[in-house]
Amino acid sequence: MGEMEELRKEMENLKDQITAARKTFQDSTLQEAAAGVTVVGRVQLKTRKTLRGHLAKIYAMHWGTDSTLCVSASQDGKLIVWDTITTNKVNAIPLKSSWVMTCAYAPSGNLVACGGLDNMCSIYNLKGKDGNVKVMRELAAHTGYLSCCRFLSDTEIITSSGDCTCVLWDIETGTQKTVFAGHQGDAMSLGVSPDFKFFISGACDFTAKLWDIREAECRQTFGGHESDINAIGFFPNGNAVITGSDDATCKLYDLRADQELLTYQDSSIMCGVTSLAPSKSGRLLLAGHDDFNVNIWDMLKAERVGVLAGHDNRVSCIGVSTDGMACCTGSWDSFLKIWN
Amino acid sequence: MSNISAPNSSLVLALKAVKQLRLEASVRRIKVSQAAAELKTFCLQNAHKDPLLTGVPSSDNPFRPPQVMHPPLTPVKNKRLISVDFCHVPRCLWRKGSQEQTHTKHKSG
Repeated sequence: MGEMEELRKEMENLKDQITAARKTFQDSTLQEAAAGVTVVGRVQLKTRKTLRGHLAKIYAMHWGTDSTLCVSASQDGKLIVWDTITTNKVNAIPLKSSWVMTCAYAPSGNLVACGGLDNMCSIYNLKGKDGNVKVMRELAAHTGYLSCCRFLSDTEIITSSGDCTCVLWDIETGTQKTVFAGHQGDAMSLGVSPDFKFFISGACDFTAKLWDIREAECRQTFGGHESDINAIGFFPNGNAVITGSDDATCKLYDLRADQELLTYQDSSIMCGVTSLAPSKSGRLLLAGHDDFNVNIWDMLKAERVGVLAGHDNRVSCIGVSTDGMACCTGSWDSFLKIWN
Repeated sequence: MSNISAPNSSLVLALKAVKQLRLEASVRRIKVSQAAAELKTFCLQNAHKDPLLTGVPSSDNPFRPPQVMHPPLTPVKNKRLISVDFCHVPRCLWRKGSQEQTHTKHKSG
């Protein structure tokens, strides 16, 4: 087995090489660059709307690109499309499987998707001819639960799964275009870059990976977390990635410097991060935790500048609308709240 | 397939892992000082466009119902007694403060 030994040695050498290369580019820190910036004043957001209607834990929510409609998924077996301004339910879609873990709104507003323990990603057409919302496609091939899904367009969607892979699907044919394999643990969350060329995934192997969608390869891997990464998102300019983990911290990784820039942590925060969303300028990071709260961080100064306390159970999902006007939180208490 | 395929498949996996690490090692990097400066600049330049950061005045907030305000009382110059219609007295004078909470202004760095 000499060959295996050699390969293992080469793997270790390459890992050391990457660590060393990152160090040589570490001529400064984000703390130093932001030293002259004043911390954001206390951020106090108020609940403006409460969306009531789900009968069980809410597991996921996603804003539509119009900043008014959003979709939520609950283990009561329903996908609900809400008008967040009137709080009316635009659609209440009954699901075949109630064990839903994720949902997504297509940028066009025409489709929504969801999936979970059924290992499938189901696509629903909201704009059907007869007005009824029907299943358009069932994307089945994953051998593990569907943890997250995000549309690239009405014809393509990316999914992450408990089978450790992410997949790019052709919705029209219902087939896998690309399988992104590499994570050594369940892929828990994914985010698409603002230019739709890349996506990032966070997994139970404690790493985040950056994938080139068209080249079908993993470009970079980021470590540092001490537990599962549950939430991931792009910084608004697409040059950095934010992760949230069961280790109760969030981290900011810069893609071009290929390394971690900051960790957002506080000794008083002991509960894992379930969800996260940056504000429109990227200055604020909103992170939902198992302890029923959302912590608001000044992303440049790594200081906690606010808390959203309003849910009676775990905050499972969070999203900031496209125009940045509001943040929506979804909870195991079955309610969604709109804050600004 | 026979037992021989078992060690081969772990070899295949190891080769893939080495290939992937080589790719990741070869990525072109920029200095942290430059990356951090650009992140900071992006935040500061877009701060004014970030409603959660700057705060949203009630009149511009789509999630708050618009407040109805009556026109203010104009001063009476003529000393003759004129009957005043109390419906035109501004709400803020006969109500104990607004029912809606005022929005806190946020400072940005």
